[in-house]
Amino acid sequence: MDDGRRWSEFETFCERVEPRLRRAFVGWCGPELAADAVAEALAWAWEHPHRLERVDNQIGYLYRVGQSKVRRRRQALMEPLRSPPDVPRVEPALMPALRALPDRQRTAVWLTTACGFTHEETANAMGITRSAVGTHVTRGLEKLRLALGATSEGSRQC
Amino acid sequence: MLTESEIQEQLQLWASEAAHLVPATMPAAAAGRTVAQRASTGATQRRLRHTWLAAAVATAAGLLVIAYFVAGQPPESVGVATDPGPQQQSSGEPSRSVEYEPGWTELDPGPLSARQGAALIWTGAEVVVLGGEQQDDGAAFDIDHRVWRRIADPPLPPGTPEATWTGHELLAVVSVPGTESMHAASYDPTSDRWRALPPPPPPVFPSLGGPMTPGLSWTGTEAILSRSWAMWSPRDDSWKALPEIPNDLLAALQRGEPGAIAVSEKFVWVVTSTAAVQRLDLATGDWEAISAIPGSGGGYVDARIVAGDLLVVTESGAVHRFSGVGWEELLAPSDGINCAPEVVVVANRPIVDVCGSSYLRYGEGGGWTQIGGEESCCYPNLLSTGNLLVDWSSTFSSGGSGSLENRFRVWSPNNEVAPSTTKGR
Repeated sequence: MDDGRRWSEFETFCERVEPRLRRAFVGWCGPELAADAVAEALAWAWEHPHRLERVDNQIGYLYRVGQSKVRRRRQALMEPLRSPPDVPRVEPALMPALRALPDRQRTAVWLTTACGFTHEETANAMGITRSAVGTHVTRGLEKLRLALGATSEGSRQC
Repeated sequence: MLTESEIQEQLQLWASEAAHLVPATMPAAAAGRTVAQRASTGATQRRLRHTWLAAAVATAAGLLVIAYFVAGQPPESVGVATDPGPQQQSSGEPSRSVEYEPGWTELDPGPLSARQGAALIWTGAEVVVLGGEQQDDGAAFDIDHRVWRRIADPPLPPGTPEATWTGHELLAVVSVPGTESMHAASYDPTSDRWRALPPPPPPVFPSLGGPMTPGLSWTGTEAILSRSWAMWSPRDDSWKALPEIPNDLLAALQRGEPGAIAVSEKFVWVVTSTAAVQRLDLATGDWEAISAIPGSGGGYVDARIVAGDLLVVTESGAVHRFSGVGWEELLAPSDGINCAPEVVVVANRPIVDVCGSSYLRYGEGGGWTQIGGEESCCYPNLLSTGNLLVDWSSTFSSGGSGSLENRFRVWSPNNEVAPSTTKGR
């Protein structure tokens, strides 16, 4: 493939996945580190096109790449970046309730419900099975419902 | 009061608004980043990130890098850093990250003296080797950069530690042999500092499981110390007893009958040699009896949680999985296993260490295949990082008659970051 065509395809690829990765990472490590995680994941994609071609679930895979690249810095920064930042217009009680979930439940709820990942994409991103994703999402949402005193009316299937 | 659909809408709104707080990454910045990492400091990377000029620089520098590697890539080296701890590395040094080729990779075993009974702990970035039957020191190996560093000496006596990673810090408990004296401490790898914790309660179960049964397990909110039947909470740095164990289980375990304890996010599972299994719901404190392991009765048992399911190995060599509705035999004695194996999980698939003779890996569609061309040795000290199987062991050379020597190696199913679904596999 010539360089121009490869570059054009990479730009198209970035347009497709970059916003989704940004949204996913901001929930994992906060806005500052999310920028680096997205850049790291896309850098890996640019550097390893042939490997990426073989991956069925590219968004989940790149999420894990970004995680692995910035994990050390996330550990160093810890608490301030452990969960999504506070955002105006969102029910205030939702944030502490989400933060109180166990890591896996919080991640599964965030990726599937907030970021629109499919269960398969989430499973790949988290390195767990699809059925486990379903369990984490169900339990996580149940805890959120209890914490917020919500009803199950209007609940949607994940 | 919010409905469930309103909760979901709020989460979506939250994600959408929060994502706007993150500066967009341009394709050129991503491409430029790969070369900038190799050629420049972190400051240079940031200058390059948002400029289209980076693409041209990247291409030129990339050609130079490729030429360098084509001309002769230096052998992958392993060194002992003077102090490369996580904080230094987070600032951008050292910058060279290495991947592992499929199969076994032999590595420098690091700065520690040979020892038996060391604990291996995975922190998400480093493999920590801690303590030993007669040692109290430790070292950490950065799995990405293949660099060892000594860690600060723990405020713990020599002894085989029971240890776990909490997501923030390494928690370790050491009991002094021949006494009921227990010591606990936690280690923060970012500051390389230990903090002494209150001593845990003395053990109540004299013998529990084998290498799969963790002495100390992290549930996500608390640490369970199996032998003491106690729980440590980081909220108040205190130990407290777990809810009372049913009399039949208690009597069996206190008699020293073989038993195993496994800890998942929600349950503590107790397995006894007569194949009876009960689990404690950590949220409610209620016990629930699970159907007995089929075809099993008496003898050694060991247990581990694998992807949320309970995995039990028995003396016959069988491996059973309980997935919530019933038992499934993953590995039967007729498969040629004549001892109780250890099971670890790498890249989402169970791997069985067949008692120091070989490794079997459970396939995606069921069935086991032998992995690696090299035999394991002498009951290795195993750990899974999720993507890699790690073996740091001290074994006697010359077939057991020589001196005690350290060996360190990793096994990788592939050289990626942990794909669980790739085409053609």
